[in-house]
Amino acid sequence: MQITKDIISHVAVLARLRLSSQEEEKYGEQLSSLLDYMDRVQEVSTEEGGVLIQAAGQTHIWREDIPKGESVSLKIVEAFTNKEGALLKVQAIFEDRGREE
Amino acid sequence: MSIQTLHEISEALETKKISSEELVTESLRVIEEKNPNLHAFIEVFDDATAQAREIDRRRRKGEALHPLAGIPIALKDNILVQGKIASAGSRMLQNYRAPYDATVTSRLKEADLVIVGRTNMDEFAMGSSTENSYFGPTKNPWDDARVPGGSSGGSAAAVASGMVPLALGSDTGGSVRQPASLCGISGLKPTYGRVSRSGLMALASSLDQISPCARSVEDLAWLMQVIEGQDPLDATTAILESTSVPSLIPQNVKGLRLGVPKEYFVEGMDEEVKRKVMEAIGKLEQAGAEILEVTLPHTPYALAAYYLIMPAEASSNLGRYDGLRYGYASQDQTLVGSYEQSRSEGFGAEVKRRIMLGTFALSAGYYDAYYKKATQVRAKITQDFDEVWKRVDAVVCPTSPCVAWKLGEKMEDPLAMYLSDIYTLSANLATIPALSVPCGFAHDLPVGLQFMTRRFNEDLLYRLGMTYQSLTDWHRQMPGVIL
Repeated sequence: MQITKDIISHVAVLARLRLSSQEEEKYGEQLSSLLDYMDRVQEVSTEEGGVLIQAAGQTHIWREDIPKGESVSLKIVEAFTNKEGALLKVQAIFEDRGREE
Repeated sequence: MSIQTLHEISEALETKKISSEELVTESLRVIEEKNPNLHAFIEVFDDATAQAREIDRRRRKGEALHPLAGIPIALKDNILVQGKIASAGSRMLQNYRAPYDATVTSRLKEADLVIVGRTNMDEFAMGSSTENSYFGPTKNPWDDARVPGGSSGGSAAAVASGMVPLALGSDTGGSVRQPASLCGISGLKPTYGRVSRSGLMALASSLDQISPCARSVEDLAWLMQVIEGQDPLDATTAILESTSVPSLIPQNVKGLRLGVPKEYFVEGMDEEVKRKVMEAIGKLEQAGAEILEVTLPHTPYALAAYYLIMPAEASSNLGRYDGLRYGYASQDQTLVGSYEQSRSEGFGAEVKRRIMLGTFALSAGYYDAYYKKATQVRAKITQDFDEVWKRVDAVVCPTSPCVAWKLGEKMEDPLAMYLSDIYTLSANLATIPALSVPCGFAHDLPVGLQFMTRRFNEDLLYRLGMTYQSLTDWHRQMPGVIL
């Protein structure tokens, strides 16, 4: 399958990646040739047999919800990249209006 | 140290002929000597010797310890050890400290194994050569101009070069078996659901399995005793009996039926590798196994299905790296701009390639033709194996179509790189256990023999591997590099 520049730009937006024009060109070519190979899955008749997504063949495994104290959660907060005291800082989420996609 | 079996090391520790401190000191000495060239370890932990000393002290006091207590082990850089950096070979997590232990790490600590460091890997386990590490490639201990395989190339090279007797890697499409084959050691991918994935950084969640590397199958089986078993933190782990201790495994293959899949011996395979694998199969036949040709008709589609499913799951799993919660952050004008900038600067080329491929396979308009179709092909591949188990007890085949290749040789050709996983990834797709053992040399480089069997039948793999290793001494060969 031929991956056009438009498809690459669209997929990059979905993937939250910013690609240089050289990267766009390179990934376009590489994905096209990889998908030429991957296209062989279309040859397989799969009308019967279903899909296999859940690998362990198990359903509804539950466990008790037991509180484990603060030690791990505090360490996870510590890893946050931008914070002030106990407050986690992120950029405003309503500022993308003018962004061209 | 490393030419001894774990059982012998364990006995020497119990009878106090050797101390854990001596073992760890020797391990650190070999690392210091060989790691500057091989680059198997990204980091050696500075508290390993102190831990060993403490275990020795407890042993002297007469405390009952686990048989593997005091033995050094290395962990792949995507398995969490609380308080230590776990970078997954990526710039994204270069400074990320694990907030908790992986379940396997807790179990190793409970059994008092000494974790001496973290080993190099392809970034986020995406690769077959360990060249995709942000921290530079690992080299093959048999020839330092060649790759060790991947993605667990650091773990395999560490064991092969005698730095440690044991290591853990992770195997999503062959990432332990293929480097085990290329480095001349033994590697096991357990059944999906046998070992907890809690604390393993997710690549493709329906395929990933933490997997041990060791010098022999017997040693693999001992290590499995420590790490396997149901875990409330990983709902896909199965509640069932553990695998057997090696002393209970029969050392014969008489009457076992082994299938040789005809689709695994096709063009593109190195002739020398093929010869070595056929010799090994002949050895098993001489020992009383019945060899039958079998067919796995969907094998030609396995690689294509795998390289759609794995990137799809990976692109979703790697969505968590947003430059906010942890890891590399690079701020731009807008929030979306910051996501894009952090990810574009934090991820390497192969990771971006797979995120793009996976995002494409899942995107509107292409989902049915690619991702969904691949999961249907996966079901067919699983059914192929179910059919084969009606005729044979296990399948025997090569682990890799080639021996270790030169550094850089496949870096510009993703498909050529992906094709090196052609014999290993079906076991992940079908969630069955698979074992690689050394079976000789081609072009003076190690060749691996692979066994696969039914889900949760690791005992049979141990029996096949241990019997083969009782008949051969390929697993005792050591590389003589830079000695």
